[in-house]
Amino acid sequence: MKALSLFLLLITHAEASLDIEQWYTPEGAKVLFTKTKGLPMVDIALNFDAASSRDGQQYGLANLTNSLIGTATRYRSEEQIINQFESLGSEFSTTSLKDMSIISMRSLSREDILRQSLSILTEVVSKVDYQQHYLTREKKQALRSIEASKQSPASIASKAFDELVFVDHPYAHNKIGSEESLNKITLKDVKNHYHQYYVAKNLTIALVGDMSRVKAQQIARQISHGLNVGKKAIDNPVVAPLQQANNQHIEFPSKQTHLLVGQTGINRNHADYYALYLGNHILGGSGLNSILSGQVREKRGLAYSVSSYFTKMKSKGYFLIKLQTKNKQANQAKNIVLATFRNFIKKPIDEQLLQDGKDNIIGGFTLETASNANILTYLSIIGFYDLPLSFLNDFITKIEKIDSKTVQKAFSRLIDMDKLIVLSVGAMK
Amino acid sequence: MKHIILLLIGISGHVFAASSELSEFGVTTATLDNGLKIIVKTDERAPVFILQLWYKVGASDESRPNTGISHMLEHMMFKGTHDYKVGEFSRIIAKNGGDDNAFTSKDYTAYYQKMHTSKLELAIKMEADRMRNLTFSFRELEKERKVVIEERRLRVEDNPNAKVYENLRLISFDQQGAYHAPVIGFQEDIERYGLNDLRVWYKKYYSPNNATLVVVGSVDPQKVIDYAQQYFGDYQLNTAISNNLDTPSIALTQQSKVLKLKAKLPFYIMGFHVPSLKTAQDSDDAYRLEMLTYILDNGLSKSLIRHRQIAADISVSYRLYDKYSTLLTIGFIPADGVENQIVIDAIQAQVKELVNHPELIEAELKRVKAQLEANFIFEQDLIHTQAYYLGMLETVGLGIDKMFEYVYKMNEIKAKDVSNAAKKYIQFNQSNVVELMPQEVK
Repeated sequence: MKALSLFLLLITHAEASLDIEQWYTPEGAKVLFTKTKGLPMVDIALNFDAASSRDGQQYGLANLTNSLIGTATRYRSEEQIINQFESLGSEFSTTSLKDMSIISMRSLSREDILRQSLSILTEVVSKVDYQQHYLTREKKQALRSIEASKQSPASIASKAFDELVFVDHPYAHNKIGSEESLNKITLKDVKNHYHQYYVAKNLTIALVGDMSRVKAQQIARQISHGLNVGKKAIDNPVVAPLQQANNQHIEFPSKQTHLLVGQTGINRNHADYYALYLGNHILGGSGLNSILSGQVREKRGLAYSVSSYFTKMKSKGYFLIKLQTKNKQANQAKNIVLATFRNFIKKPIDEQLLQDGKDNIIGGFTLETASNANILTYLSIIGFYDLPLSFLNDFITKIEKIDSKTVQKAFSRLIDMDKLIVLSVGAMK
Repeated sequence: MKHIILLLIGISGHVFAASSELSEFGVTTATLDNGLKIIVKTDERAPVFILQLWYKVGASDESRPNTGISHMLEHMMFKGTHDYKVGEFSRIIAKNGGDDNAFTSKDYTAYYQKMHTSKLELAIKMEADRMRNLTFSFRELEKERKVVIEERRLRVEDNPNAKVYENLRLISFDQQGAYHAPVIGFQEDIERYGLNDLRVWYKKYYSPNNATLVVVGSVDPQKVIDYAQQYFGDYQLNTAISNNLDTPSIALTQQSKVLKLKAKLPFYIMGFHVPSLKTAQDSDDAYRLEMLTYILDNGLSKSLIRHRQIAADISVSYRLYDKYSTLLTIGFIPADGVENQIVIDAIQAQVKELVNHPELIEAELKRVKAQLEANFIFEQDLIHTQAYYLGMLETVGLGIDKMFEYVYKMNEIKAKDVSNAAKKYIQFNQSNVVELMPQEVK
């Protein structure tokens, strides 16, 4: 049995290896490229370190700046831009998170299509023309989405948890901003944000698809060439550990209570990264097979979904366990989660569970890079978070070595059970 | 047409034939003696596969007091068989590096495993086992019933817009036919059915001649067929099911409902009764409706959200591949301070303009066609999307050829066709409407 699993490990490992090439454009943008075959398409993601953790006091600024990309350029109106992407069959989109502001495009790799798609993408990103009427409109849309999030207990809970765990760190506020903060943002603020952060040195380009390295180099060069060289954004301070336990309840007229239990977490450079990854996978990161799901759902039928995860952000994210259950059961569920978590931290995991968790991660590793879309995400993460290019290829070896004691120690070093945030949103009254 | 040929050569290296030789798309099909259909599509990009087992049963086969029973059975399928105890199915799949789950809809119930290529036999063996050997434990059902009720609370009860959609189906389809009840079921029904109801449902629908095995990935099609023969081959077919009762949807028109819910944003939705590809007398009509959906969705977003800014969100949707006649819906969230009626008037005016001036959409039509052609390639990136279309088309009875005809059919459509479809089907005085009136949250 042991020999068999070792054998499997070797094949899986060999097959999971992903060939990543990395270089910098003359302007200083970092580029990661993986060539894939079989589908005549190309994916491009431009990841700027320009997201809501760069808002300063102007909550919502980064999100607005990014979402306005594609509204107008010096040469084209919004409708012309949309029409051009559509006529080529290319998909253009923008997303802004807390660390990354992302502009992405998917195009057919056919020479004429790709050339034109790239040309419009480059123009949209580097010749952006911020106009007042689009800003006014996007602010209104942002206000609408703030309202929408107020009717969702999940959104209310997630926003409140961010504030509790990140306190006064730039990760704490909602990336969309508030009515008050949005009202104060001017066109000039947006332009300034763009000029400071949408620069080559602050950009990681991820490229995946059926194209040669030479072609990939041309693409990266063209995109980067239109941008100012600029400066890489200075890292935000590391998120501070919590000073005390925090129990909060937000009353909301929903049928279920959303329960969130968590604490300050890690970034990808954390010394215990792999032990915590494996441990979390077994605790609450592997669906129905996880310990939490066993206790909460499979044994007691208390929730449809219960999970745990780390948000591994640049300046440290959080660790979170969350579930939803009918209001009356909220207390019972909370007690079970806390007891399960305490036990998980106190005692090393059962050897069989540890091996099952490893087998799942290792045996399923090829699935992680089985599509262009997945590879694109990994390239963005590896590049943006300055991980070694061998990150994926080393992953299995690192996981394989970890024993249950290491997992337990890593969790007990990280988590202080006396300083947990326990947040509930629901109808208790 | 020329355009498509070029694109398809890109994928398969073969020329597209109008009668579509499926093997040219890497598709192999077979049927076992007991009626189990097998569809294999090879995709060698990575050493993985997805297996999906599709059953021809879903919410459209249900009626009170059994609504949601297909979905409940789906949950029970993870609760053990004679050979594997509760929870073992997912544990074994996971231990072998797999990712597994299931989904239930109006017209189907499907189970899947995504795994490394070397695990093909295991997946087929385990999926075959639970087609026959499910143990129905009372204790497990009682727990799972609670889980499903929590699922309903999460997805529907605490989600105002989901309630709007649920109510639109309630008022649009008669309860004697399909599509009236929600897939997850009414809470009273979820609370009601017992082990025996589930056993009956299982016996009736879970048989080889009511199922389709789909595998997409880096596999040898002959091996899939051989393993299927080995593990499903001995199962008897259920002859009672060959004359499976059809329960078409029954359209109700001119219905409306106002929902007063604790919410922040208003939401308004109109539903128009339309045929699906399966039920359209002229199948081209269904593709025209599909194109109309794209044209309206793009056009309304442009004029109502971007230009006039009277709507914060608008979406037009149509389910081309529904088994029975279905709805084309137009739903919107008005911009702050804008009355619903202003938006409704604008939508009506835009449809009228489309009916009277088809020439105005020529350019948009061309762009949509370009997008659909590209999208056909993009969709091949995910093996589960490929498997989904193959399994779903076979399960609703359309056949998998439809997957490869789609782009060609959509490309044939002229502006006049779209405008005719709008004229024929978008009758505002016949539509059903649900309006969400937000009540103060606190």
